[in-house]
Amino acid sequence: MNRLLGCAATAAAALALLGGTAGCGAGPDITSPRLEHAIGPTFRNLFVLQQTELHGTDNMPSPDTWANCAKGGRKSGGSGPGDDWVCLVHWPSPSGITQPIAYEVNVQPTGCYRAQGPATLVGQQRIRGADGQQHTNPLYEFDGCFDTT
Amino acid sequence: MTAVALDEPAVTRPRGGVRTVYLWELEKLTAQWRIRAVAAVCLLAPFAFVLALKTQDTVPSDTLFGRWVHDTGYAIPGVVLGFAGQWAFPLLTCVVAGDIFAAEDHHGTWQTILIRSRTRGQIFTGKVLAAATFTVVVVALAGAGSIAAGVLLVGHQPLVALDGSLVSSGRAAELAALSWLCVLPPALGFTALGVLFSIATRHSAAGVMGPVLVGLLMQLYAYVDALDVIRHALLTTPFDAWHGLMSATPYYGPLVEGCVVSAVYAVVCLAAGYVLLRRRDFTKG
Repeated sequence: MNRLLGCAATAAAALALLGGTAGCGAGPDITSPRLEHAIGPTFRNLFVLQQTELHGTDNMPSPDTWANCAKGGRKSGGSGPGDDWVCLVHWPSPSGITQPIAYEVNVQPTGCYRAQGPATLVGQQRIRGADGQQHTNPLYEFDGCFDTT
Repeated sequence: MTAVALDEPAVTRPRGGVRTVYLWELEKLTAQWRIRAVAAVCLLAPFAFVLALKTQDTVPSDTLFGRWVHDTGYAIPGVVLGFAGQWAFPLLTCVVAGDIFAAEDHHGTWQTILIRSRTRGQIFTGKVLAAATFTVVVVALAGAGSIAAGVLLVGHQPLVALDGSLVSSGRAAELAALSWLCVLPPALGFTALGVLFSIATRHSAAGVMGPVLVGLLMQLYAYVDALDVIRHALLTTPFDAWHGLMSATPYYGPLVEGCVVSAVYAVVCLAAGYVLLRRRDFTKG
């Protein structure tokens, strides 16, 4: 039994060492720059996808990949997982004016997030496409992940 | 300690012993209805899952790719991987790994196999290889099953990746296969953990359920907002490493880290297991 404990201790030490080197000098896994860097391009790609679904072709000006994320009611920044993230992205409205819209974002400790947009602007969960069929609205709610290493 | 001296005839170390043990273990495994049932479940469960999804309009939107399950079949392997992978893999792999050494205790056959002309090292290696083979087969079957279920029952439309980019059908199939390949390292890590539990506890039920419990605890930790450093060192974290591939601009950091973490777990568990087996006195019966 002593030997078993010895083995367990060795294993624990090895893991602690590994964890130490993996996270050495690094800040928190979930940070606003990381989230912004992920959600901005994802929103842009999904916007193009939605326009293609709605109109058959993508003839709207595609938005930039700008995003500004803040956690827990702050103006900007923050870190850590939680469902109190809010991200602003640039949304080209049908009138041609680009305006910032807010997505409520739930970020998991694993580095994956779910973003839910304002349905009045980006549409409901299912939308009628150019082909008359019902499609999944890519902008209503979307998932993504980013690198936490 | 007399047993160690008796069963290590260094002069007449038999050749091909590992291969014999390995093939014999595989034969024992394929003869068990329990093992066949697990293999069949891995292959068929994704089909049942897709059929259940098709009967309803709602989508499992709390899982990655969940909201696309009615739009493309390539969402299915991702959903299965995220939904069942985390807790199912430790159980599936340890059905064999947790039992393969303890079964000899259960049947009281250690003395019988140790007086054959095979060293403990050869028996250990053969059994570990057999358990690892089962893990690879199970992951391959479940991966093939979920890709086949998606493509056959939903279709092969392009997939919307995790960065919102549209992935063509052929590339989506590649990515699905690659992402299933990514769970092999942590699955093999759990195999090693199962082997350690099997040797240390000498009890099949403990060997199977021990690693599953460890897996559940690790997952629990991963979902609370605690020290990030520890999360990187958990054996369940590499099960998420495939997320990085599902993008037009893939990132491999978690995959590399996951492989290192899995390798460390495997080496530590196998070394500890081997030492325990090597020094155990089986003469007391």
